[in-house]
Amino acid sequence: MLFVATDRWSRTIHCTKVQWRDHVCSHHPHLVDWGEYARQTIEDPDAVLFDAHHKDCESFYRSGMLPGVYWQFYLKVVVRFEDHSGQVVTAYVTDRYKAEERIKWIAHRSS
Amino acid sequence: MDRSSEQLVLKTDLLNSEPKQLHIDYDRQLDTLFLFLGDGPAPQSVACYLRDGVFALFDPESMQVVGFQVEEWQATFLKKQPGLMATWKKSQWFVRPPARPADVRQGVYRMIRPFAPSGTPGLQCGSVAS
Repeated sequence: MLFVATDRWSRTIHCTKVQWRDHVCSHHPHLVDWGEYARQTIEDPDAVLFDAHHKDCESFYRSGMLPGVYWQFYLKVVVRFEDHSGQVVTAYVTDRYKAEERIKWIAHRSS
Repeated sequence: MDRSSEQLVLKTDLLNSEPKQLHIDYDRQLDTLFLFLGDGPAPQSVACYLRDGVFALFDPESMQVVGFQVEEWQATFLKKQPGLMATWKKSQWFVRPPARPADVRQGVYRMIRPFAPSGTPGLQCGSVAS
């Protein structure tokens, strides 16, 4: 297991090393050591959005946390839920929320 | 911190030079296709959403477009590209074989390339294009 996280709705989310290797790092190799950032994104996101195509998936977004040139961008972590627990499906860096996704929850942070 | 109304201007020099190497990887579990302008995945990239499930992947330092990421590849994208669907099925990539036929690589590239029109000063990513 790479990490276990608990989101703001007290759902337990697992991320396996195999999933991170085969479905994150194989396409985005710079994320190889970013499991901890993914855990933080799930536990303290800027926003959580419903996936546009899969009812059982939600996307967690967090910015201002990644190192170096990535600081300004979001880490997006996609989680598939069943009952009250979830599995990380994939993750990547993006510059914005995906247009077709619907907001479930958004943080109101003081700047 | 939502940037949904902001635009990024990405450089398209690699796209405009008609890349000689194309690396394609299809992740069946994610139903996502990755197309990189080179011989493998880009060492660093950020995904900028264009439309219809297609993201431009760009290098965050150079701002060059280095590839594409297409979500819902078989479920949605290929169904709108019947010519490519036939080529894709023939290639039998569903089990991720190591060899990627050149005609399939080029076919995929030709279908995705128009999502990132080159212009001056470059690809305006994040515009409400539909």
